[in-house]
Amino acid sequence: SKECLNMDLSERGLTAGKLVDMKWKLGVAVCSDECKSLNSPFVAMTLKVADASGKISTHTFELTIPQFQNFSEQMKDMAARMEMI
Amino acid sequence: MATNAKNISALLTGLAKRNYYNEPEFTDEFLKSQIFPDLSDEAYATLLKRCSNYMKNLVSADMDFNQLEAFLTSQMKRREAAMTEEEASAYRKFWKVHKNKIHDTLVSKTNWNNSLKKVSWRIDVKSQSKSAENINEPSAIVELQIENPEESQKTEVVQFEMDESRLAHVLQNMKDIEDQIVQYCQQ
Repeated sequence: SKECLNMDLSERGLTAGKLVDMKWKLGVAVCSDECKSLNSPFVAMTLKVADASGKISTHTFELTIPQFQNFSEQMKDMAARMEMI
Repeated sequence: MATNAKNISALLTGLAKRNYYNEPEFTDEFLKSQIFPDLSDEAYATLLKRCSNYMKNLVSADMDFNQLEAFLTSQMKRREAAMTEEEASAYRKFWKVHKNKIHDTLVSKTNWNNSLKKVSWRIDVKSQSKSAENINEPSAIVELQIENPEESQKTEVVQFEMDESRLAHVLQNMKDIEDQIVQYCQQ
């Protein structure tokens, strides 16, 4: 999927919160009203982010396997870059 | 007006566009005017129903090409209203082109949760001059754009920071997920 782009962010005015929790599950959409044979695995994730005041916001989303692999690659790339510093 | 592989193919493509690819302009009337202008309304209605039902069968079962052949063969052996070789040829051609695309469309149509539209990141390096500690301590800043399927105009932007240990934890999660995918999903 081309939806996830690897882009280095330029300077932004926003203050990033801190990631405090990540939860995930792996599921399979078995069938639907239009397709008895959907057989579509997905990864659902929930992230908890604390802002500077400690207030926690929750964000959830669902990824197809290719989308998840793209996301995972991005995180690995980021870690690899961090190692170089 | 005879039905042949070519005009049946055209009809199937038009139906797929309307039913799956979100192109509602391909109405039954429009398709008739474009493909079967000389066919009687009654004959067209019958043909339409026949093609729609066949397509639903293919899509619902997400038939592979062996299953498709078996299905077409069984339809051609019917006593009444048997499928012709011309029709079978149209379905083969249609399915070859549209099978995966239709399936992918149905998969994304059945995600009623938020989707991750874009991932961006940068690495910040914090340095402090007063103490020797914390010099050149990198932190990862991630920005996620999360899209709600109901309101695709509104994107939620989430930014968060991770130090090396939090990132290591995230990577471990990713690895755990990948291991589960390999175990449970024979892709």
